[in-house]
Amino acid sequence: MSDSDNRETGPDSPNSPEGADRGWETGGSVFDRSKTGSGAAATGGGAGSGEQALLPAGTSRGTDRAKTAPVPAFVGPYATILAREEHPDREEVDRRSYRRGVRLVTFWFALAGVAAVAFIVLNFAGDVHKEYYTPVLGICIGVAMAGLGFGLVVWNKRLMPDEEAVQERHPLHSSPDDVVAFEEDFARGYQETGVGRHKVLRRTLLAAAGLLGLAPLAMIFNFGSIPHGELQVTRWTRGARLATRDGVALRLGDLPIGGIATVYPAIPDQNGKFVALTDNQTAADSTVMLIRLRPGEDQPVPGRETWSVEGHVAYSKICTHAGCPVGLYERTTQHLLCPCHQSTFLVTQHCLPIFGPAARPLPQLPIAVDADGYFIAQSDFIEPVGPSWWSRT
Amino acid sequence: MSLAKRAQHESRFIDDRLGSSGFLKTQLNKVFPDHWSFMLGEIALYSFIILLLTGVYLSFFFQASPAETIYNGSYVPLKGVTVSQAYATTLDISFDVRAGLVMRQIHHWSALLFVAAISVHLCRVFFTGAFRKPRELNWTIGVGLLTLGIVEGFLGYSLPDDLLSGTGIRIGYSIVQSIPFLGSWLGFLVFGGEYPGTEIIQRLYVIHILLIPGIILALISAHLAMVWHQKHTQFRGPGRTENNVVGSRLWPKYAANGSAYFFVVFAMCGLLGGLAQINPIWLYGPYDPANVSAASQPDWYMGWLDGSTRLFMPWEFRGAGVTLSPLFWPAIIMPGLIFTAMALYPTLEAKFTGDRQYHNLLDRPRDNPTRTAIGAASIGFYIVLWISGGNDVIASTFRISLNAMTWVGRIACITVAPITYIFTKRICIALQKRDEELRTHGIESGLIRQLPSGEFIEVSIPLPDPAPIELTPAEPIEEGPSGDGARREGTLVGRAGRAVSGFFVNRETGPPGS
Amino acid sequence: MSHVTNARSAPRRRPLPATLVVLLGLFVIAGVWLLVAPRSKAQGTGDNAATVTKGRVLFERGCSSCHGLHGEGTNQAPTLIGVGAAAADFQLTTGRMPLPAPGAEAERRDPIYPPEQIEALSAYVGSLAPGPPIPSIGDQQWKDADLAEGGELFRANCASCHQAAGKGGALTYGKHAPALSEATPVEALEAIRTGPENMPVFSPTQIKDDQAVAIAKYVQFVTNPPDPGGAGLGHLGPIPEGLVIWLIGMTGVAAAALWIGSRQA
Repeated sequence: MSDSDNRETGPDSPNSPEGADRGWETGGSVFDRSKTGSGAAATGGGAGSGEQALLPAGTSRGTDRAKTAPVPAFVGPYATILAREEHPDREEVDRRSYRRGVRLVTFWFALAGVAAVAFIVLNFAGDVHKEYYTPVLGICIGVAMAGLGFGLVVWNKRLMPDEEAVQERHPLHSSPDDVVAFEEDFARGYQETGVGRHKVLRRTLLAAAGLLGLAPLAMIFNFGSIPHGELQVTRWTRGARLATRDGVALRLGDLPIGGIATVYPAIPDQNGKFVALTDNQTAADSTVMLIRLRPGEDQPVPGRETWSVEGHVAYSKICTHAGCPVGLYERTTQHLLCPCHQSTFLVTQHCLPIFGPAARPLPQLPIAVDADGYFIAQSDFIEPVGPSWWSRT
Repeated sequence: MSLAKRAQHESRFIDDRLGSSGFLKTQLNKVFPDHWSFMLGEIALYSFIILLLTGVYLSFFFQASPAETIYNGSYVPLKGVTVSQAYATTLDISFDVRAGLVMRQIHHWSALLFVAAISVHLCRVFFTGAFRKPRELNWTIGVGLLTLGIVEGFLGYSLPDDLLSGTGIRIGYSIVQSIPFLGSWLGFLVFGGEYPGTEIIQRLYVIHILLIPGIILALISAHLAMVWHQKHTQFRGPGRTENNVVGSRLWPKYAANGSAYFFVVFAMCGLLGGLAQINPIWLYGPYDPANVSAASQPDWYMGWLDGSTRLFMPWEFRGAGVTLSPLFWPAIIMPGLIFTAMALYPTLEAKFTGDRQYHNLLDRPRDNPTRTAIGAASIGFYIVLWISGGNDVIASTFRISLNAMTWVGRIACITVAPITYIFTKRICIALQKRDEELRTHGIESGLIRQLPSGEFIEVSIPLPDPAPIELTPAEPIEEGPSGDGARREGTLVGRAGRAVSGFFVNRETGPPGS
Repeated sequence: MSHVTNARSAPRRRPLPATLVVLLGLFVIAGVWLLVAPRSKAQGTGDNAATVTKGRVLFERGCSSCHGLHGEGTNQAPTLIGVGAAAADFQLTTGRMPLPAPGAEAERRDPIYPPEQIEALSAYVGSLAPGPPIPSIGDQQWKDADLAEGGELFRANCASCHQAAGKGGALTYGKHAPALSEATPVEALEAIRTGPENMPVFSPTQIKDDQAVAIAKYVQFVTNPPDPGGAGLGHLGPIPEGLVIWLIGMTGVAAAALWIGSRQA
């Protein structure tokens, strides 16, 4: 069993006699060798040796093919093949199963080809507006890829010889000589630069490099602007009308009891015509929910009794938690629910948060009714709308 | 010229100029262990390639512009609606560009699969201890890839500027704003001014198609190069030692397996891309800051962050002129701590176990009960948050109170992890003990025999000698003084346990009758 | 005096039993009642007052125990004064009313009342005070309704509760906004105008009639939209998509790995 002993400890000697005549190192092209399929069969190995057996007796990989004496098929400095199935040859009994394997692989590849062609045809001839278009394209891609993949897998499993190879791991760290030599080289080189000796050189180099590194950082700041109070204000001003997204300014009586409307500020232009600001930039902080409560239902914060008109109250729609629009109004329970993280606000109590992660009530917009019956804002919100930030006052 | 001769000619052509044959000879004979669980990382690699391919196709048709346009494509329910160019071009890709929708859907499904595969691969590496020396750096790169994958996916599905993803961007802006000191400045920096501004889509586009893919490519290359150079780990088994690799050689078997698997993964993404509709942005409409849809969720890999944000209590700190938003803790601190802990885990484990050895053989999960329990507890915590991210959909589908689901989530996210930890650790130790039983006493045959002395013994069949290597523990079972396999002597838990256990039962004599 | 009895020619008369007399009398009364009593089947809507009266009878029998004898409401149910015929028609046609138990959540069920009775009840409720009438949609009005405008209005006013594809959503404390797939256009209009249960009320000045029809048309579309990308996965968004990628995508690909790779250590 000396052969096995050598194999167990790995290929210390690249030119072990058993390996030399396996054709690997005796010249000739790799491709020639692969064509003739050289390599004697070997399964099992190392049985009964005193040291740790590489494969316990009776272990076999793959199907039960003819087993010869445990001679490795392949030895070299890079890998040792422990066990290799007998390569199915045309003259062998397993010829039929081999041919079946070939047929199966051919089938898969053919299927892949058909699917690829179908994809190409559909790409040109398919009607992109029909409902079959995308699904059939996806099926073509899927079948083509699966055909290739399954074909390769079956080829691998049935037509290529099974093997179990062993390769030695070399220690990852370098030899102590190399480690020392590297450190010495580096240290010597560092010494030769003289950086260690000249404090001024070192410091000016660091300063220059650091400042140069700051330069691109400075450019990053070109991306943004410095907040100058934009977060504190919205587009609501005194006298702004409450308009729907269609631009229609709402009047007293437009909303029934239990009704809500999402409103935007409408500012008079130079001709005095009220224009609703419904663009995204305005909507992001100025969207307001106008809600009509039953008479007597509202319990305003002391001092804010004049902020509502005949049960109509107006609150910012921007959630104070993370900024989603708080749109879910429950008419009978007076809950205003935000769908993002389920913060719940109680409308009759100045939109106080009663559940969920929001910590502040929705800011209230003071509203009144002008001489023509239109709802107007008395002023902007008295606090910033939306989620909190560090320097929020 | 025959094929063999032609190939020989080509290879000599290259070798004359590059000296490649020697290098290739070594590499072709490299041995890779071929356990199926080692292929999970490949799923991520192949989905990334699919993402690159489909992404290039999409980038020719997509315009990341916020400029308003009136949609005039073939989707009738949006005809005449004012939308951004980003949204309009995504609609065009979905309805009017040939093979546009299938490419878009393959792209999105591959992205979901990419992060899923990384997660499964991470679990495999964690539970088998493959991150130990010398592979700590590779683990950290992997955690970096996970983080980048999640961010990349978030940016990707936000590009179409639809109502669902726009809501997510709005929440993202609020999260950035919640950062102490710098928050509002950072928010203005990223968005080019007050939200929403006109810059964000274009910026997300550049980061999504250029910056992050570049970093991911570099990290994947480093990741694979390290696996290549350090050689893959392997499970214990016949013939496998710390100093060898047993498996198949790269050429031809491993290369064939790898390419086959690439096509299989592509096939799955292709089938999903055609047969399962994903992200139908036309149903959500263009983004409008005043609108929101019920059941708004991010993609699955961000669900845990949505859950943590939903569950967190409304604790906002106001004082001394500053405000600390309740968003800061669940959305910045928690993921920050978790990702940092994950990235540093190999170092932390090595420190706490004092293990400085090389490890090329893998643990079975039961071989390290503490680590497995930590992993299981983390997964339990993650799943609680994940489910809570969809608590409104669950509440609506199963007619459960939304508020009840929130409270259950709050309690579960504190209690599930410790309970899972205890259970998992016990199970691991029990499995180890069962292996030891098998090893020392053999298999129970079920036969009872009476000895002449009157004693009954159970007949057991000893295992073949030598016993299968898999049953040999990597390290001896940690036995504590209580004899239950938990090494706890010096720790706080150990001392507390001793204090408690001596309360009911005399620890010197044990329970009565023993 | 002697009398002649012809026992054979005169059949012996037995007096009828008392029970038989009573039964006969009952039958006679029933027959008279059937002939005379008013028909429960409506003879037509022409007679509005009759419909209202019939509705009142039905109301007192089936609704007044919760809603009050004159619809004024009790502590178990809100007032119906002013809600309009549309509200009653909606609640009864969708089977939400009558509630199976007081305090239960009103959900769509098979209607208890047949259509004629619903018509009568709605007429009665509508007669209590002015309120939204039962809407009707003309064919031309339906054809002219702009799907795109309906979509914009739906997303602005409805999607936050009912979800962008009308799949419904959760509200607070166990309530929920229902899915809209079974709502007919008329029911959608009625709901918009009357705000059933916790839904807000939208007046015609806020959402005009043709806009409401557009919304109803969009609801019909979006609850059964074309799915050009394959299976719709419930149109619920990232949650079913995440389930698919794990249960089908990841599982399938992992199964392939099990097939391709080795299972031994």
